[in-house]
Amino acid sequence: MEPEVLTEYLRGRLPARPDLQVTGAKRVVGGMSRETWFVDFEWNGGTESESVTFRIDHEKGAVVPVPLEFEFRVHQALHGTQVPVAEPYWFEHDKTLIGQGPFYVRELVEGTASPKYLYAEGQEALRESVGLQFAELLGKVHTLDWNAAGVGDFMEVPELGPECALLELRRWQRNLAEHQSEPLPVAAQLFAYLEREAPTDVERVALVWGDVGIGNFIFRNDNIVALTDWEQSHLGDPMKDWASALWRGVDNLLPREKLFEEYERTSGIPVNLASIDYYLTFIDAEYVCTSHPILDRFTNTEVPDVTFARLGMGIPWYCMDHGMTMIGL
Amino acid sequence: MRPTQEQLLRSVRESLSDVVIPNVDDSWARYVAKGMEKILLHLEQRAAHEHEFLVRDTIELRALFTALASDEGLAAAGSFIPLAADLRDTLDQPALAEGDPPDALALLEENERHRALLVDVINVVEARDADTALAAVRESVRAMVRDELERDLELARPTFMLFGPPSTKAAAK
Repeated sequence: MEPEVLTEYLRGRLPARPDLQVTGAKRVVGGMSRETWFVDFEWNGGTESESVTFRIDHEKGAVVPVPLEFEFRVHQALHGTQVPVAEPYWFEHDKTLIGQGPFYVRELVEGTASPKYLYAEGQEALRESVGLQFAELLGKVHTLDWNAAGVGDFMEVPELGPECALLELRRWQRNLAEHQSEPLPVAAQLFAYLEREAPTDVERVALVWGDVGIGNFIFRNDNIVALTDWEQSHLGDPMKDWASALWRGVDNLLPREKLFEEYERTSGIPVNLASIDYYLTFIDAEYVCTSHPILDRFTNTEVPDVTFARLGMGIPWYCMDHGMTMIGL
Repeated sequence: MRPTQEQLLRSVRESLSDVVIPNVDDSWARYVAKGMEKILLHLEQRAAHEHEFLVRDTIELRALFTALASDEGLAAAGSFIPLAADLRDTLDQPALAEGDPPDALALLEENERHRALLVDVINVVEARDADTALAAVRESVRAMVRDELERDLELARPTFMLFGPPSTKAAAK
């Protein structure tokens, strides 16, 4: 990302900021579904400044099979509700604007998502506080009036019951089938289990964050100020989010019993342990379906960079092993 | 003797780990370099074990398919009929894995054809989960899937990437 090109683009978008100049652009290490850049700029001769986030599709398309515009729309729907997210500014289809795209620009929420800071020695009180806030915020996601927020306009609405799991399962199965580079008997075994055991007891059709975990929320001065990574969000069983959170070790913040207690107290939604167990395997299968298709990009004529190979191999087999263990195989 | 593929791969990886990565300041470039390091480790494992694993996997799959082709409970399952023909066709063809050492790519392609057939078998036997006549078949298929996974894990483990500590309680379940 060339600062000159970004300067030109932002000047076009922010004409009221004289002498706007980009002073830094740094690619964020971590989330690989798309490129994330933090861009700093100043104006008025350097007396005022701001930072924004650019989310950009990789040159050869996104890793997660959800259009970037979906994520932008989620931010649009949620910003200003009880669910804290960064404010989305502009979505751009035109790749020529910055030489890559599509992309969108959103507010850069000040703070950190770093697990290292959270797990540093002496941060026990912070972990407890963040854990309780996390449980409460997850409840806010699940009690959001998603219809009023307009989410039902662009997300498929499942019926209450097994369809909450099966609709989502079929979406990911389709993605794997369309981009499968080799047969995966383990995935077939996991799908069979998930199809058979889909929970019938679902409290409500809720907004499901989708990709929940430490590293996917921003905290500042001991407070969680924004939830991030909405591209896998959907409507369904709220217990799936708990499975995702536990899969990614949220109970290293606080024992799960305390997290559940806070969630139930603040949201009024009962925790269903059997459903969470089911969704723990679902998360394994979902990761297989999102990451294994990356290997399909390796062909006789073209290969993506090595980070794609690492992602396409490093996640699916870990998850297949974990998933098989979870179902006792 | 000239250096083996494994030795050369290890040499490249150790140079990358010990010399290059510690001197890369850009965080994204360092992340990419660490990805290279993991893939090199994976390649070392493949160079050492892939041929043996593919041969063993295909031979074990063919033994499983031979047993399935004559299983009475499975034969009684209506949805098994087209699959039975596929099993026979596969078994009628001589397997590269059972002959002279074949070329690695051909061996991989052959193994993947067998694995694709195993997926079809799983879809049939798991869809009839309540059918007790298929219980033994299901068990042997599931055991085969786990054995295959263990072999794959030997090769894939160096590339593992975690984005959060998986719950130890859940993993122990």
